[in-house]
Amino acid sequence: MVEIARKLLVGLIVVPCLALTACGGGGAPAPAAEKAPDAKTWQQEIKGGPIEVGVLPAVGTPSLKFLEEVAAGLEKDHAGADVKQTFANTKARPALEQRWRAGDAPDVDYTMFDGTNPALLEWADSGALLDLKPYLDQVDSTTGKPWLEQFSPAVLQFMEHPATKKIYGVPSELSLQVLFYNAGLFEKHGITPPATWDELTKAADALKAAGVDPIAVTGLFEPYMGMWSDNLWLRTVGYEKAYGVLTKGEGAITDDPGFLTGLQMLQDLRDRKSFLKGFEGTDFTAAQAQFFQGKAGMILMGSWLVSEMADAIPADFKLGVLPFPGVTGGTGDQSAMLAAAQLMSISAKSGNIPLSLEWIRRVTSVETQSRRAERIGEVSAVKGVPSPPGLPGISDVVGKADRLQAAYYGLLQSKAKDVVYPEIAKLLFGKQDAKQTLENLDKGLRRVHGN
Amino acid sequence: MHKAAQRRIIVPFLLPALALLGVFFLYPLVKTVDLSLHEFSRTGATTFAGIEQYRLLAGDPDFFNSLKNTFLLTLIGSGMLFPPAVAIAWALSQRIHGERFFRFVVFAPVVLSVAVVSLMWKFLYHPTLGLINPALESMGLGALAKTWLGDPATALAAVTFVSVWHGIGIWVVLLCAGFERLPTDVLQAARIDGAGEWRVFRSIMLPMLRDLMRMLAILWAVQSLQTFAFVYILTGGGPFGSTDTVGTLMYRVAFDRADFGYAAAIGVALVVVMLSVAWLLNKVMKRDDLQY
Amino acid sequence: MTSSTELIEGPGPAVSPKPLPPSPSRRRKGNPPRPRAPFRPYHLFFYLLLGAVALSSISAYAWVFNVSMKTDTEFISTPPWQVAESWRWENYADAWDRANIGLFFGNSVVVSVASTVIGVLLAVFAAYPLARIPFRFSGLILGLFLLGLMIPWMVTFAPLYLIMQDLGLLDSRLGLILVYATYNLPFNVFVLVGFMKTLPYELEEAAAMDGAGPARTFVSVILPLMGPGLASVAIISFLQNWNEFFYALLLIHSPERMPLPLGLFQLGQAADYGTNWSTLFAGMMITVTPVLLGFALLQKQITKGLTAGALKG
Repeated sequence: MVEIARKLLVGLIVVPCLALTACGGGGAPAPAAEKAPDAKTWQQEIKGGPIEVGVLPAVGTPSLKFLEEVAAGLEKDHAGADVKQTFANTKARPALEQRWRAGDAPDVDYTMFDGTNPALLEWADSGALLDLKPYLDQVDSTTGKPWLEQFSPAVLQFMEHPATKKIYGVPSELSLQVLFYNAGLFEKHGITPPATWDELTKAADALKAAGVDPIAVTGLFEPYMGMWSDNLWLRTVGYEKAYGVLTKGEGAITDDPGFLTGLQMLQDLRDRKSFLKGFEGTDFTAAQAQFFQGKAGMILMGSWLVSEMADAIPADFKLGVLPFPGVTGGTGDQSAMLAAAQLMSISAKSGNIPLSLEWIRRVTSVETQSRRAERIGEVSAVKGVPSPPGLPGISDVVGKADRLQAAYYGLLQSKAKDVVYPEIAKLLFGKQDAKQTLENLDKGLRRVHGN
Repeated sequence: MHKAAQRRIIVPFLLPALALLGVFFLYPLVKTVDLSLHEFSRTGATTFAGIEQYRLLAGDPDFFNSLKNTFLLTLIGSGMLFPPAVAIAWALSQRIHGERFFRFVVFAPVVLSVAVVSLMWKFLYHPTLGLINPALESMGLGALAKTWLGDPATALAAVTFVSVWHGIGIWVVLLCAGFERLPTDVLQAARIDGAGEWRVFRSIMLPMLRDLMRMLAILWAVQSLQTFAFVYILTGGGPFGSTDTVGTLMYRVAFDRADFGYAAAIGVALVVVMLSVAWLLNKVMKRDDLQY
Repeated sequence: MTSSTELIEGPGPAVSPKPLPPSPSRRRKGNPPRPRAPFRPYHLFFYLLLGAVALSSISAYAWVFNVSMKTDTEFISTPPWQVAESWRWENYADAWDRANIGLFFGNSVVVSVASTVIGVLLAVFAAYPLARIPFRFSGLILGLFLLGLMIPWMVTFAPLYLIMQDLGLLDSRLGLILVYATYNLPFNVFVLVGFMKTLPYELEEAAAMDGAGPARTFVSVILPLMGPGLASVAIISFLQNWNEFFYALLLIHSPERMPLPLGLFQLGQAADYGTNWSTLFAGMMITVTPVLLGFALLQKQITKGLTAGALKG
């Protein structure tokens, strides 16, 4: 053993010596980027060839099947076109981002840009993404209006770079954080769908009395628990203020009493035992499944819920959709809604920019989006697309929202993520009360933001 | 004469292995130290930062938490692993009935891939849809039911258990080898002298297996200090960091936050900690039986 | 070839004063397998212990099998232990067709076998001079290999990624094979050096006197004696490569090149994002069954190989 240790030490000394020779070597030369096509004529320049596009749905889902049809259509219309679909959702992101850094990016990808999230401006700033503005400003021959006008103005803030006003992504769908409820169950027990927080707690108690767990939530994915505090703070603090404190590190979380109020309301909900039994060890899919099995009355989730769970929703299930309840007397935004636009961006180094443009144009066309809303149940950011029938009342909910605000306050890409959401989880798990949560948040935020 | 001839083969024999080691391990290792002195932007641009990353690391509770969990996992794991492994190996060395069958079931999980085992256990642990809690409830032991992976008090132990369950076969086989190599005459002599089987085990077998055990313990430590896949698939480091290991923290820092410099600093710090621990253990054990 | 065979069969055993390295197993030599021990009270403890282990493994497999026969809705709506309503073998067809299990399996076999062969081969060559030829930097070089045993490999993943990219080995099976082989080297060298040191030094001298060059001596005298040691490092390396997840996750992104652990993980993702549990569980059964069958058939050889050359304390 002593021998081994001695040899290891020798090894340790030698290795740094190698460093002298090691510290050269940069990245590989990037493949020659194709020059971006002219905005007026790009549609004539479309030629076949392979492109790789990131997609959000997983293998075997109806959503992916739908996109495969869109791809097949593209391949049929352009000889030689070959669309490869790569899973680009949350857990695949690390590897994909590494490919971007390495200059080996897919032609079209998600989550590379968000105008409301400073951490996601860097790719655009470094020139990795194609500026879509010239193409979006071009008048579309079929509608007679610029392509850009096809999208709802509420999503422009996500698409547009706040400083340069260039556009780096178009939304294939909109994810809204809404409160789903089991309408059949509510009717059966004569419970009113909650519009305010007080009604929510009442509904929770009524469900509890009827022997149903009131709210499904996962304990194994912290940001989904964080949806509760995010939305509460939206009502009790307001977006700008909360965003400043949490993500940008402006001021302290103790400055605005709304933060504590929000946490106390969450604690109150917890203390009423409103969350699914065993949620602490329940995965998000299982939590969602239990909601559709009638084992829980409500779930706060992104509007993708219905398309994601399409295969597991019983035929006779009656779904209700509500905006997050308002907080009476809350000093925040009572009718704003947390949302994310799922933006497709094009790599500036793509070897086939025209075909990539054509892909995003087809995915976001009114026709595709309408079929998609009907069949899959995605909420569209394109004007004139009907609301998905699977999400009854969603157009009402969206109509009432006066403003869409960035989901998670852009925390997911920031260091503060590892501070905020674990503390909220501890609160929900009953490990600490609202006051302690606030103190820990204060400590943690001060540490990561250095203030 | 033949010594001189022998010298000629040294380089060609060593070169291929060293080349691989150099390209895929030593060079990246050196480069890691270099990376740890830089700051990275999300897009991969770097600026020299000196020891800034290490300064941050020294005040990072997440790092110390993950270090603590990693050592806990190693420790709890060795407690979960070695007593049953030794007992099983001892049992299998006794030529009891069904030995072949038992060997099979003990070793079987080893050949399954980590992903299968983790995914399987993720569902087995599920509080209401899984195997354990419903089974406990049906036996009237509902009070013992836990939200295994969801409770910070049990999550780390639950993850460790899976990794032990998966790997125990290999340790049993290695220990069996040790048992088989025990000199039969000595054991027989003890038995003839009237020593009970437990006494033979405790006073003769165990002491004779000590060196093997120490070796296995070191191997276990090296292996479990790198635990990644089980944690990554089962809990992702949660609930609130209670199962976060250095491996998962590094992965998250590097890929979620795109902070390669900091991830490299964590890696370097881990190496330093590990080597110091090895050195310390060595001092304490003060035996050089692994000498070449 | 002629003189070499002579060498092993001729002086080989004669010059070895003690029994050749770790006697593969006591019972194979001479005495026939010991008879089953008669039952003794303390055996009860063994049966209880082994019974508990067996029960836990078997019920885990049974549970997965049962779920693989359910529909997705059945999985979430029925109690976990309720027997599936019908034999839904179509789940298996689904997993095979849609989820590419066959492809992942093939990739895993190719990658694990190739990397194991390379890792063992290079290690045995490297171990020879380190163990048996004294030279100036031997301690240092051994130290470098041992460093690989002590340092967690994942520490280096970021630069490794960049190197793989520079070499054009990213997202390729060859790249993964080389990384895994390197990954196996330290342990293999460590074990094999120890093993070779137990061989008597007269072997080479005798061979030299017969006029064999050092390379030939190695191939025809030393290598044949390494059987048990090679078997055990090969098996351990293979299991490690078969199970490796981290580097596969890091280095492979095309589904058509993914080995099993990664492929199944992707399938698990599909279950997370699309409620395809039955496919996932059927996929698990498909991957598990041939491996377990193979293991059941080769059990004797595998455990013996591991036992024979395994670490000596």
